[in-house]
Amino acid sequence: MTQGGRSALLSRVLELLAEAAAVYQGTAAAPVVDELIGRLHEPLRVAIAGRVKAGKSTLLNALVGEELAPTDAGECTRIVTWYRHGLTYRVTLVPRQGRAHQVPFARDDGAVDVELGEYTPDEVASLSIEWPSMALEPMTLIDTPGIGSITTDVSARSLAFLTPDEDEQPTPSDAVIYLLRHVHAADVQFLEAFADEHVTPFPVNAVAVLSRADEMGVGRLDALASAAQIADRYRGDPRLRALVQDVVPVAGLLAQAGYTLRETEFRQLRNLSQLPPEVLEALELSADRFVSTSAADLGLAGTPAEGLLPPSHERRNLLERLGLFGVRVSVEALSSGRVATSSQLAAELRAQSGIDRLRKLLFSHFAERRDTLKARSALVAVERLLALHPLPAGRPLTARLEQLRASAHELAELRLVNYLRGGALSLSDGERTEAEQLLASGTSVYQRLGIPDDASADEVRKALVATLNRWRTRGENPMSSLADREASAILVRTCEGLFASLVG
Amino acid sequence: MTNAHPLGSQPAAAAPAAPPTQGPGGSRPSAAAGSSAPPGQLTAKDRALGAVDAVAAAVAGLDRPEFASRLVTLRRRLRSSSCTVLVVGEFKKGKSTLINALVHAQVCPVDDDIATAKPVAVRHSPDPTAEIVLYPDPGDDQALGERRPIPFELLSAYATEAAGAPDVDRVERVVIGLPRNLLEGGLVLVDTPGVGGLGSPHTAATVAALPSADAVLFVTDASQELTQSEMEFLRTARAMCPRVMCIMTKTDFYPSWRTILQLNQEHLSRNGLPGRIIAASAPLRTHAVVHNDTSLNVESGYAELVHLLRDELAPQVAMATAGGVAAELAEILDLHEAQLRAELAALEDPERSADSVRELERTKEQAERLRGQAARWQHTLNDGVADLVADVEHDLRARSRELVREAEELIDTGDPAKFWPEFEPWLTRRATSDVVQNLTLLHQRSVQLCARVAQHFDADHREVAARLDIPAPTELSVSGVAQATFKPERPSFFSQTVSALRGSTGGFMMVSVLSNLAHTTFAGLALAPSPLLLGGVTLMMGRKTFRDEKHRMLAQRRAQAKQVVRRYTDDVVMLASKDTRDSIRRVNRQLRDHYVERAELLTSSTAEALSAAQNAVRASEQRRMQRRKEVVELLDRTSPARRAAAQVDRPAQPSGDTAARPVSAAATARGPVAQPAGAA
Repeated sequence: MTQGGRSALLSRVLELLAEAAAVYQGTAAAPVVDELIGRLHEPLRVAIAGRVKAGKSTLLNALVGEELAPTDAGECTRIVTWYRHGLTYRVTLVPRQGRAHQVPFARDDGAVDVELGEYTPDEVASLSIEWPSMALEPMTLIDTPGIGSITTDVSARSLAFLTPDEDEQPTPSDAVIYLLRHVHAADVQFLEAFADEHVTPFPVNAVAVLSRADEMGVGRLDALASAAQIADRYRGDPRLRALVQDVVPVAGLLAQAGYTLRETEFRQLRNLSQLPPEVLEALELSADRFVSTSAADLGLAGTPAEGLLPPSHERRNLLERLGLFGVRVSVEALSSGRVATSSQLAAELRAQSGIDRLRKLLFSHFAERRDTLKARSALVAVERLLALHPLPAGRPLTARLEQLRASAHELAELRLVNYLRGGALSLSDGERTEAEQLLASGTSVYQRLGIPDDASADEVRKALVATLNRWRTRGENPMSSLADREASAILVRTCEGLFASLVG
Repeated sequence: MTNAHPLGSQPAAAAPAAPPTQGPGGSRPSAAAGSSAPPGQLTAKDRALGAVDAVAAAVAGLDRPEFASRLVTLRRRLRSSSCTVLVVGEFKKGKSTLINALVHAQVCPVDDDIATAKPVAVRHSPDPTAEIVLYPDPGDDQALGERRPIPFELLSAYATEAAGAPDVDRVERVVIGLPRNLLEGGLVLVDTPGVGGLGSPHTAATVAALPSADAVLFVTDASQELTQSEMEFLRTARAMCPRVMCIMTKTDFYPSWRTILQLNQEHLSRNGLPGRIIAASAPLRTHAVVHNDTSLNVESGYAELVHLLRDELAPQVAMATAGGVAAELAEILDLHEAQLRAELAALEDPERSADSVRELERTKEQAERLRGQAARWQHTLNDGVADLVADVEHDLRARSRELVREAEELIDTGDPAKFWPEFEPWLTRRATSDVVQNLTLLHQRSVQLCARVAQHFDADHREVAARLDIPAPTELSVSGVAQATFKPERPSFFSQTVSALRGSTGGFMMVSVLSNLAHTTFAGLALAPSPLLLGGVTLMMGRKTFRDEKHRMLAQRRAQAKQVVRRYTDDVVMLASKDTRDSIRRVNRQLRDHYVERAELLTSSTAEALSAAQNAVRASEQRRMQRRKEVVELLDRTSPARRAAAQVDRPAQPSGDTAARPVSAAATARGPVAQPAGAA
């Protein structure tokens, strides 16, 4: 498929960077070029943005599968923190002024507790935590401090436009996860998460997570179905369409428990699930009652069931780790017999939490587009470099850069995707959906053409030709606007690329 | 398993509202579950009605149709008196659930996502009813909205954003009637659309409704502490309604609700707001009612909430209404007695009656002046209204100019085609927040005007009344009105006047105009020559030409965006100022009517006294003697009415309380015969 073309783009960019490295060798800009080259070999960088208390650290822990980030307001959440894969456990502090250096740390109940030494949090540019974790191998996670307090000032000065000017900034991260809270579409806080100054928005590789999904139904067992409905509505909102690719509901606490469930906790939950239903009902009535109701209150004293009720402090721990909703879901899954073992329960919790879908989105969809994005970021960075440090030897580089940008079809596709999502083109809804589907690299040719997976090669070819002709006709229509015609031309080229990959 | 959870059994809004006639399982909530009858003693309202009757009997001896019609009005005011409690708060905080749990019926649609879009008022009625009230004809600001009964199944179609009911756009509010003891004392609970910060269009409608409410329940939940925008709304609410109470919901779900509660109390007291917060859990309440579990009902917080509504708020409001009526009754008695005394004086001493007739003539002239256009209070009112209109409109225009300026500045910083999706909500938010602040100004200034007019009227009224030998006549009647600031116990007339501030087009039109920007998009406008072109065309066209073209089109888009902004702000200003004028006109009319009526009563009483005195002079000795006897009798008849009026705003004796209790228990007998099922 276009795989060959994509790596071709990346290798052309690498060539360009090598040339730049030669030009700038020995100058002050040399480290910048080195860093750009290094970036191209790194795993996917995912930044997590959103308001404090939106559940960022919980989500990060769920993605790593370990309780790394402190989940209550600690020092670390006030500093941009990178979580990368490493061979050893190591924490590096990058001060705003001075050299990056290793700092000691402790693990406090799982979470990493970093000693900042003589630095105050404000003086620290970022922390880098290297951790030997399988989950961090394909991606580096960036935890941002989030937006501290709600800006009540609705004056012009507080409004920073969030929709990016796509050719102007490089993106420090390859993908962004925005944590949204459930608010009304007319709410002042609706787009709050996107005002996070710590990430540069780039809609093509951004996803919104409807966080705390387990709270949508105030703990009802069908809460996640409601959360899915809300996410559907958000997905249709034109403002969100312009800012993110998708909206996924995730119950962070459930996901975290799904990755870190302990055997003792499983045993306590299994015991609970064996209590008579009316006892369970009384127990799960409220968080208070779950913790403080005694066996005598429940009429269990002296009965064989008394031994099944975990002591109060264990119940408190369960509540903290899973939430009332998590406890209900677990107990229901166990008592209905759908799960029997600790690993099955963990899997059930993960599945229900929505975290699997988020991971899939990150690793299939975004990872595929990563090369293009990296190439794009690198080109933007080189352009900036050339403007900031003009050297006579750099002139041919400028020409090469211009040529590369103009001829790379992937970059045109990327821009088109942004434009489509922004609703800036006068395409019909059907046309827009079709175009987006067609541009969704990282999916199969069947999905891109919107035909069944078991279509024969002949059917695929027919569908492709039909699509190609449709866009060609659209592009040749003199009534279409210039932008529409240009969009059609890009899509025709995309079809041609698909065709070439089929034949080849 | 789902059924084992009381939480799980709550159907979403999609399910039709449960028939409100019966509680689940037919079990009736116990008295402890908070739905028992109010204590059976005579309420302030009953006492006031009794006093009206007593006064009617006392003044019946003279042919005074003005008194009779005044008494009819007072009786009607008492009968229709209610305690309107607005339940407000942000989106998804459990407002509808709170009301449902209070009345133990699914009357306010509850859904995890779809929000309440229209106010739903729940009041008492002997049988369950549901009706919609349409917006009145905009051309006629006297008109009342048409009311139409609707089936219960259509409740959520009319009340929520899940559209689909016929005429839903014309619906102003939904009114539910339920046979519940809690509501019997005139309590009306109003579920409102969630406010999303002071900037969302629904906020404007809710804020506009605040002055007409007797109390406000502000609902927040235990998921997090009060946010900045919630605090701001609370402050606004507090400025426009004297009784604001906080409720924190969902305490069953969040283990750390006590911490949140404490933090919230600190937030409130730091901001000078009353720190009382009731922590409440609807699932616990429902469970308690279904299982008749008194201690659980207390744990749910609803016992306290019911106590607050039924035993604190409703009586306070009823007392204020009754107190206002009592004051007016006293005034009628004063006038009645003054007339009789003047006649008596003439009858007893015909020699000096020529003097008193002259004196009465002068008093009559003075009273007529009080009624006339030249009266001081009339000037105050006329000038005040003119100033009010000018100031409020000036404020609105100044705000809109500033808004346009800021918006244009913003437009010049970027490309409208790109930032429009963000710009649009920003503009709506700004405009709404301006309208809300303008409304607050209108409210404050109107209250001040009311007080000023009252002060001037009273001063002159007192002077006339003193001539009629009425001892400190106005002290009782306008004690509240004369105060420059609102006291929690304001006389009912005052609150009525202030509720006239609520625009007739008010809520809905405002919401629709404020949000109508949503239909403006940049689709089809001069679109970007798009960086897409960078690929193919740049090389041919040359970068400079391309850039020039790009700039030209950007300038065009900016001009278009500015035009849209100006049109939008013009619409908002036009509607808001029409609303303001309508509101002020209503306030003006109510104030004028009220004071003219009182001045007329005074004038006619003086006139009657005068003619009685003149008759007395002319009458024969025998006739005089006979009439004198009659007048003394008539005067005697006023004392029971006096007593009745004086007792209206005095709480009942404790002895009456205990005596009344068994009666109330009998009246609300729990037997299935005496009470329809579930009529709690």
